[in-house]
Amino acid sequence: SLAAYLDELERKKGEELLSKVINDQFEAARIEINELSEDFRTQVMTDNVAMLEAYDALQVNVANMKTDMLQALNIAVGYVDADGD
Amino acid sequence: MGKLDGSKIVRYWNRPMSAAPLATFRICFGVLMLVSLLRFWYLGWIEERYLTPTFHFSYWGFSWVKPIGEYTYGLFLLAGLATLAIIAGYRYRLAMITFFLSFTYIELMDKTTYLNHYYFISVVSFLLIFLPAHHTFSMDDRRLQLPQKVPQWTIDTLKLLLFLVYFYAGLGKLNTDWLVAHEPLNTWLPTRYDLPLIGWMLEKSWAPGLFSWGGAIYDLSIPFLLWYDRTRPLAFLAVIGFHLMTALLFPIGMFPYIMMGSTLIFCSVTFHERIIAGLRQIFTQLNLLPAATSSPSSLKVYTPHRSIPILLAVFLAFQVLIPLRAALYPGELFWTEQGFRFSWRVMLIEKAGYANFKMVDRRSGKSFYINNGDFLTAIQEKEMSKQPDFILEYAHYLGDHFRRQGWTPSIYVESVVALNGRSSQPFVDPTVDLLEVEDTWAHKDWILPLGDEIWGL
Repeated sequence: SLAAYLDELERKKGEELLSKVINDQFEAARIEINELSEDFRTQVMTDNVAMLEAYDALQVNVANMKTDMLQALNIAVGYVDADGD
Repeated sequence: MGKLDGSKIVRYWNRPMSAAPLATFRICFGVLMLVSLLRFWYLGWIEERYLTPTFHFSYWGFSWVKPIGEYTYGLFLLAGLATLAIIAGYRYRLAMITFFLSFTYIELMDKTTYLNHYYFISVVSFLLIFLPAHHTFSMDDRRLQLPQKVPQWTIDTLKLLLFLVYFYAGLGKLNTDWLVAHEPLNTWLPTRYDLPLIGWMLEKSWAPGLFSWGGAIYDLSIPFLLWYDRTRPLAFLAVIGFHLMTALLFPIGMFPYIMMGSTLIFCSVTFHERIIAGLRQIFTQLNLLPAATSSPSSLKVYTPHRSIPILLAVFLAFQVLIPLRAALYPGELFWTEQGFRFSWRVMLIEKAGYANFKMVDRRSGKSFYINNGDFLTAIQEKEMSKQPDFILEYAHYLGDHFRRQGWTPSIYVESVVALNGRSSQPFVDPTVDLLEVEDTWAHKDWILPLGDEIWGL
């Protein structure tokens, strides 16, 4: 799995393993999402802040996976000749 | 005493040498360029990089270099035909100018494709326009009986350029990220555990350190080792070893082969004359060449107009100065990248970013996030998200786009960047409306600081 690969490479974010950071963040996002009502339309109309908080929680992991994880696993985006940066 | 030294230098520069080294350089260069162009076309990259995108990032001052749609194929064809003429030494100067202009135009069309080695090709082809590389073993020589001797400085110009490239590449590696943290090799090497023969080694904890220090020592010492006859054979083994290793480890395309071919210029005149003699023999046996005849031109020395060496000296002086402009900017070079390009900082950093653009309509207060995929290809988005000048240009492009749709836009960016194994950190100040920022050479103060110091050059 990606998590096992990250751990094998000992990739960290801050003091913790990156895999743990990502999984913890998914948990946090899950908590936010569980607080939302079944119908997102009513949720937006009654309390949009909760929607935004759930969105933000997920966005943190988008950055963690698209940036930290892709870099940690040395996964290239697109087949191009590279120059380093 | 000083006058004696001065005249010694002048005599060295003007010393008549065989034109063979330049001829082999010309042929190698032409062949490598032809292969590069064919490869680029074959991999479908002409379409992918120049036709598919609806927007192209332009170099400062060169926004007038417009993409030309389907005609891009014609431009590549023109460059390719030029390489054939260069290899054959047919109307060499015209061919070289054509290649330089067409290749450089291709590169200027989209900043996304910037590679140090494309810049190297432009620089070399510019120099080659003014060097007598067609005086021997060429169709021009057959037609015009050109002088077979050239002054030393024509050969040394190319040696000096390569000296600069290697040495600056080495200087770039003198920083704490490279030498102490062993980044970015620490990120790049362990994932190549599956390579045959050396994969087992790349996983070891000592590998990034060894390769980092080895690379720095190589870059700094190799130009000196190549210059002197006694150390050259060993140096050349190192050159081949180094570049083949990079070819194996990294997706850098033609760069290793272009460098290996170019470095041949350091070899002795005898070496080059033997190559030319060998090629001559092959061509004569294939009945493509008449048998060699001695002609009075074999002793004549090429004497160009006085302005040529001066022009080349000025050009090389610029090549020395341009990489130094990074020192004029505050902030961490690897983070802000101000002055990073055109300085031979090759394979030096690993950077990845994620940029979320938000359009706020100043009239209604409405706002929404932008899907970058609507405007940029994946490769463009990748490059944009980690380079501030791209972010700024893209923001202005978005501003124009939304203005045309009738909004009164402000563009804000929420972005993070990960550099050399550090965690991703906020990059662009999310409170700055980038439409208010002008694209100049001044320091970009809307980039949030790295919060870390990288010591070194």
